[in-house]
Amino acid sequence: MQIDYHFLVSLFEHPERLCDLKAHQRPFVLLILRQQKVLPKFAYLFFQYQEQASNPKEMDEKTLRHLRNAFRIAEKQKEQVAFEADEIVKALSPVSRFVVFLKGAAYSLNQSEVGQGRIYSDIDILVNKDDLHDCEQHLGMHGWIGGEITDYDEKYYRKWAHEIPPLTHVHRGTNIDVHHNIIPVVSKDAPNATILEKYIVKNDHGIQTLTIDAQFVHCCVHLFRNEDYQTAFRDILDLRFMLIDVNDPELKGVMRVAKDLGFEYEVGLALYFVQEIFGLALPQAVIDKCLNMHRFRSRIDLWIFSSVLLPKHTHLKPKSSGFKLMLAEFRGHLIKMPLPLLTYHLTMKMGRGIIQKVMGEHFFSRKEEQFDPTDLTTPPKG
Amino acid sequence: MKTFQLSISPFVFQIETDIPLVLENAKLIYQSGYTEDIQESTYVDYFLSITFSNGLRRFFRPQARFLCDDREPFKPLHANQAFAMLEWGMNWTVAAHELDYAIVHSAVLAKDNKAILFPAPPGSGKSTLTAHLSQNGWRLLSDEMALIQPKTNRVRPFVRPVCLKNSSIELAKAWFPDATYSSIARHTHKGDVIHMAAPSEASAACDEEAEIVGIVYPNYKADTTLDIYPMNMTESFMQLVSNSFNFTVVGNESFDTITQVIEQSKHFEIFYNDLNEVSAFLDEEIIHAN
Repeated sequence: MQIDYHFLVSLFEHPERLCDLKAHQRPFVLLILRQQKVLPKFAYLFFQYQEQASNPKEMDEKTLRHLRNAFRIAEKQKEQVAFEADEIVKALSPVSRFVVFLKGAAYSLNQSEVGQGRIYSDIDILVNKDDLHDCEQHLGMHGWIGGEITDYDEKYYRKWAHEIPPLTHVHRGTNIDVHHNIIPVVSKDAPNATILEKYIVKNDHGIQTLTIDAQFVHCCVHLFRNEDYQTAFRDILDLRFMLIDVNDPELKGVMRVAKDLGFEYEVGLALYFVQEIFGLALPQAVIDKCLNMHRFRSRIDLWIFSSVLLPKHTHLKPKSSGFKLMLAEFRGHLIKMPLPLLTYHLTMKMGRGIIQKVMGEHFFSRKEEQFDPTDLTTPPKG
Repeated sequence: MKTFQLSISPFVFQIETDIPLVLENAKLIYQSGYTEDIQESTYVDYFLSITFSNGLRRFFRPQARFLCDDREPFKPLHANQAFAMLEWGMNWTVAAHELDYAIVHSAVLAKDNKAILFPAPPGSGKSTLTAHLSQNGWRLLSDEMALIQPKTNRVRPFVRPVCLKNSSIELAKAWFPDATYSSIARHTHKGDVIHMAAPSEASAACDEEAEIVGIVYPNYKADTTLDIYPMNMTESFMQLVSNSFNFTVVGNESFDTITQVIEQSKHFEIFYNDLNEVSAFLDEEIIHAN
């Protein structure tokens, strides 16, 4: 059973269209959405439709159950992240000038539209660069410690990215990524961190996030400076729903922040694709102005990303281009690191990749990492 | 690569495999629930796969990998454990996704549609007890997980084979020579493991719910025929919650459900070596007690 990707994307504008498929075809849609990590988002939209429509179309009980299950996990995460955020603030407020929640955690904590049905596997926070070392220590005292990673990855984080490897709470298993800039400083384009501070706001619960306009810019930057595009559709979906929170058809605030941080081009690309994929009417002049900043580069980027940002799954047709995906990932590496460092990084990663192809996927997995398949009380990942 | 479906009410799994051992055992253990004749119109709840690991591993100590959609919850196991891995994988799939039920790690057996839960850690003899009862007048609802309908004390069957370990394997084969057994998965982290198919009466009643009337915490003890200790509700509540897979995710509703189950059940901890004595005790003190 193959699902047309136009149909899949259209579900986020018209969730009721799932009812038009035959019952036995719906599981394939659920399968793709779950794998793309957007099933709870769809569930949220579908239940909203059911609530608001005067005469909602009928849906079979099994599909409803799967949607309820997915949405519940997102709601639970929201509850959990509120708790974790308080704990993190408690641990860090004595040592960092600010503790800013980024991305998924920020969406949930602000109760924003983009946060509805949004799931994520770690909590990203931004702290003051000079306090980074103290932050790591204080988080450690509150139970967040670094997991075992390879020497190579350790070196990557600390020496080149100037960041702390991801931390995991010893009891609750929650993961934190501590950042001191919105893109790794190994890239020459990282904005001056002090400019970022202008965009920090506090919500009613005393939780700090970036302004919604800055969150939008951050999401664009993250999307086009990434080296993993397997679930890029979720990011573009985030941007689409963040537009509701931004609530400005002219996007003036967003463009101000983009200019200030030097990311107008990335925002232009993002707007172009949100418009293209979801068929929204966004200010064309703004998009053109941003893309014209790099005429040649934008042509290449528009070509590469034309299929990379769409949902990807073996049950979707037409097939997404593996070649463009590879280019996008290489491009992501290239703008993140200087070329000599990138060459070294990719050679190391590729060497491991080749060994895994020959020796089996789990050649580098440690024996003691083996998860007990009969111990089901460990919560699911992701 | 072959594709088959397992209809195990209330779920349908579609499974892809290139491991002959998986096909043979699935066919043997699930009988009429197993089909290779995939009907387009069947609603599939979960798409799973269990396949040989890639690379040279295929030839040198071959391994099996389990995937649910594209996720791989466990590290690969030796290929001779592939069917056991599929069983554990299906448990994981249900425990990780199904939040409509309060799910407790427990065996469930019933008589006259009155059910007893046996939540217990490995090594307590739970599965041997389950196998014995299921062959002696009790209806097997599940060996591994109790699916409790929210805010009720009704449990829904999820009829699966009973997982027997080590010395229980020979015992069971001697006691119930007519039962159907899978091949033995040797040297798993639990030792040798075998799956014993559910009796056909249990499979036939796979949609008949039962009312929970008792919760019994079994402990096998070689030198004790049968010692019975009544348990208070608080203690039983704590134990049941710690055996719950989705208590924290489901939250309040799960709390209400488990509270209701606790309030309407009898609670015992038992130490035993005589299974017939246990059966008689359950019958008199729980099923036929007023």
